[in-house]
Amino acid sequence: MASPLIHRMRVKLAFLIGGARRRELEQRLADETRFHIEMATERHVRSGMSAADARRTALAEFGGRERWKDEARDEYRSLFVEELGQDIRYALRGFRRSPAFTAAVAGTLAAGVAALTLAFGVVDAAVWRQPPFADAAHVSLLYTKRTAPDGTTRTERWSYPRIQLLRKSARAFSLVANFSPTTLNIVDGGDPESVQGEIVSSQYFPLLRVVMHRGRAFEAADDDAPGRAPVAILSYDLWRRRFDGDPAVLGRVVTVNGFALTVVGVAPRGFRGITDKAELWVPTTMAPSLTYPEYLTTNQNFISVVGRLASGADLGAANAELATLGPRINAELPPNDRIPDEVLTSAAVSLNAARLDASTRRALFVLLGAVALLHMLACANAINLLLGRAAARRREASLRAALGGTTGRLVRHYGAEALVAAGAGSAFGVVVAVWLAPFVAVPANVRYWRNFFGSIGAFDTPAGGARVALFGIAIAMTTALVAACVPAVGLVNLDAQQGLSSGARSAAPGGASLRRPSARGAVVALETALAVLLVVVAGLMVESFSRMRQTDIGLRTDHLLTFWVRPSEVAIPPRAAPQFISKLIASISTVPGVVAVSVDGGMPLSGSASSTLIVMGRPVPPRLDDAPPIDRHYVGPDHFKTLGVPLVRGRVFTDADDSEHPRVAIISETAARRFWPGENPIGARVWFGGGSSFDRPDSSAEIVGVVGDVADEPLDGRPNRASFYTPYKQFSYATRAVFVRTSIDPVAIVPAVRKAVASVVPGLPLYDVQTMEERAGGSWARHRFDAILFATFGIAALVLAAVGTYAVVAYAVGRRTREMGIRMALGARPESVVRLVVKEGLTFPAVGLAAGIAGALAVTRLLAAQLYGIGATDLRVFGATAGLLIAVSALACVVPALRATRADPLEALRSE
Amino acid sequence: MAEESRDDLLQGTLDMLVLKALRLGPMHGWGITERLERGSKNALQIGQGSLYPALYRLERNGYIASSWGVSDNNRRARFYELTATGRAHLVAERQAWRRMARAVELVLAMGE
Repeated sequence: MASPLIHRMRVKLAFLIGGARRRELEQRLADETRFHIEMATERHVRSGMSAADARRTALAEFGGRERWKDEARDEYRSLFVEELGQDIRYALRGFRRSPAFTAAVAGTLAAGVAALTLAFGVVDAAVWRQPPFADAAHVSLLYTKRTAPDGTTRTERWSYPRIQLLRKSARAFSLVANFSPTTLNIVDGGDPESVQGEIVSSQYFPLLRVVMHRGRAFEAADDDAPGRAPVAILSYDLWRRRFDGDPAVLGRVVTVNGFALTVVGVAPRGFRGITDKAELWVPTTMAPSLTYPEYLTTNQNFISVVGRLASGADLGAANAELATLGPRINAELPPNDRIPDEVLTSAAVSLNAARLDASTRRALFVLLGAVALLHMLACANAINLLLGRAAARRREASLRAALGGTTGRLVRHYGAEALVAAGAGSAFGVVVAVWLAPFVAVPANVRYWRNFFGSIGAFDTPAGGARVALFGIAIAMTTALVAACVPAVGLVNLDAQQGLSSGARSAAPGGASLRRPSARGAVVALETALAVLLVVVAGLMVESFSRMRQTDIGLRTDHLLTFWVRPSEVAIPPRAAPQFISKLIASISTVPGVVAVSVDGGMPLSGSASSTLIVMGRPVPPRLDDAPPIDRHYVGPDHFKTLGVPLVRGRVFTDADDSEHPRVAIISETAARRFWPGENPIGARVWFGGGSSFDRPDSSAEIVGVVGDVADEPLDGRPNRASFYTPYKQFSYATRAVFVRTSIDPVAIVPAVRKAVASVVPGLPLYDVQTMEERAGGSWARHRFDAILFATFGIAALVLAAVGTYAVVAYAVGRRTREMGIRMALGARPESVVRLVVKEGLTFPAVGLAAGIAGALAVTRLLAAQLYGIGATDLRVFGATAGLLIAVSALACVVPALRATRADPLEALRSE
Repeated sequence: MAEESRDDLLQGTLDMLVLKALRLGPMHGWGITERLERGSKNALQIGQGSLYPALYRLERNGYIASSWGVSDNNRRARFYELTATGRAHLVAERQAWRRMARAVELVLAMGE
């Protein structure tokens, strides 16, 4: 109890608050007191006292008038706040008495709230938060939509001539800028380095409202004519890294892709362009010199375009304009730049929406949904624990109710207790989540968003932020209220009678039945159902990953070093490429420990160049694009030996398969099966739709061999694509993936290989150096991540559900110790008692299991896109889940049941 | 308040007794003490210091209502009367009390 002084002060304070009511109350107290004393005095007078004595006695009897007035005042007012304070103090005392219980409730909820808040942070960063540019909501990405005569549509970017027409005509946009990602080699200020860059127009920086850290942005004059503006802008990091943050870097000439450029600006700290990885910017007009000679003139649509909406214009208005502008631009272009028979329009989408594809969004929401389920499970578990504690206190509650405690008072009393535990746990969860949020990023190698042609950064790095904190606080408050109020209301709803009588005779049949519908039973069923859902999802993810691991990708991944060389096409045009590659292979081959070297246009598991196939002697489709699509590889003679791909029939390439000799091709088994079913493809002649010099009937190649399939594309469950290999000496580009088969640790020879490459082209960097094992691991990373994450959820869910079942069964068994004792005393065997408990104990888990399976059948199809080699309703996974849940629930029943059988029957009988 | 104490028990019991006294008809505070004393054959002496807080509490809980009236000897007095809720509450209280009393008696009679 608080000291009298404090008590008085509190009363006074309360009185200060309620003015009129207070005066009324005071008047009433005074009047009633006076009346009472007068009546008492009269009685004393009637019994023979003198008037004065009578009054004195009456006053004495009444006692300290002021004291009881205080009490009366207390009773009169609502004492809500004061009582709540007492309840909380009481709760804290209770928790000191049972710290393990408190820790279980608070800890479960803390983990749930923290996980859900973090998951929200991840989704918020990837989906809702705008990219980090000023007023990014008004930046849109513009694209071209091509509709073929058969109705199929394709999304493309823009060619430079079309961009110029667009910029001239578009009214819905105040600024239209073009940009394209590129790799640039820089040699000044340190070792030659390959950095990510962007080729941008002068509108780019103003559009993103970027103010240079130093120097200037590109100017309109830089866009005037090809080669007029040999200038560059450095990122803040690049400036610090290679030029030590030297302010005199402005005006300095640096060599980029072998071309001298003057540094005119340094971008602000943290700015890395729309690609989110750029460190160097060059004007569009320099692109023909630095990267691709036809950059400004080709009709290929490969340049990205962003627009800032003009004030007053919205995305709808912009799209309406672009829909009519697209065909008009097409009509204005010279005829050879037009695509025949196609309807061409253009459209815009917000930058925020473009950075993420639909399947990635879905995957993230699946993650958020799974964590939400897990949190619900945590809440159910906490409610279960609190209900159990409340049930154990039925008698206390009944007594209080019988002794005049009001319903509201009791709800508050027990609610406060739960609220303190739940509130403390949830609050702690938010604090942990907000603290962890900046560190919990989806690892870079498991990001699976394929954003707009890879030209937009994901901008998905989570950061705490007010939104995440607010979400966490909202979740914590909801959690605490639900976890606190459900048990409190449940408890008070037991009427006094039930509580007292069941307290008096706890062995009453059905008094603690595990089968009768009850709040705790419902909670156990809910917990089981949630666990089923999460375990099914975990099973699907784990099985998916395991099948991916077991998939034969068609090559030997050990002792294989891989990297890219990317000399610019200006430095080494296709006609010089074969000679460059020959020198490269020869140079690397001399490195000790190297067994074989080859090149290709793409890395296994990450995509290959493609083309279309025309077989000599079969009908040629009117449009080459309509011929069957195939994967194209321009490779070295030792390619199959280097990768460890088996030769199935015919021969491999040799050094003699060069431009002086007949054109030859080797095909994959899938290609043989698909295009020559039941026939021998050796000796057949083929040519291809485009992309190489094999693009005419008179430049056809003869098939000389069939090799095993290699997974060219990321594993996604689709069949391997048909692959066609031709020798690089008969056609190749200079940008190549290089493969080095080694007899020693492939990582150990990287420095020697670097030197060997530099001896062919000084300053040519190796790019994206990885062993093939790392690459394979990287291609599995997402599934591995999903498998580990969801397996963790599944295990947590199993544990929570098991604890829930255990708590309820243990409680019921405890209440029925007497019954068990009698059964045992009458000769029941322990097994039959255990069987009884397990049978009854499994009632609610079984209901939950059925509901969970039904729910899982309904929702797992949302996962289909994330699965590999397994259906979303895989019978084995569902069956195994059901078995696992039954086993775990049964175990949760067996433990308390065994304890019951060990009880001494006499002891049990006496315990009442 | 939150701790279980003798006061709690007395308070709960007093509330019930006050309700019972008012079951006989509306009455002022003084009259209630008289009724209780008479009813218990003077075994229960109700301290005014507990009576009025109990009346105010019961009123706050809606079990009784009060209004100014005139006493037998023509004085202005606050009269209390039972509400429907109070009546129902009294029935419940009374049942609970009987059970309690029986239970306590059984325990006390153990082995006799």
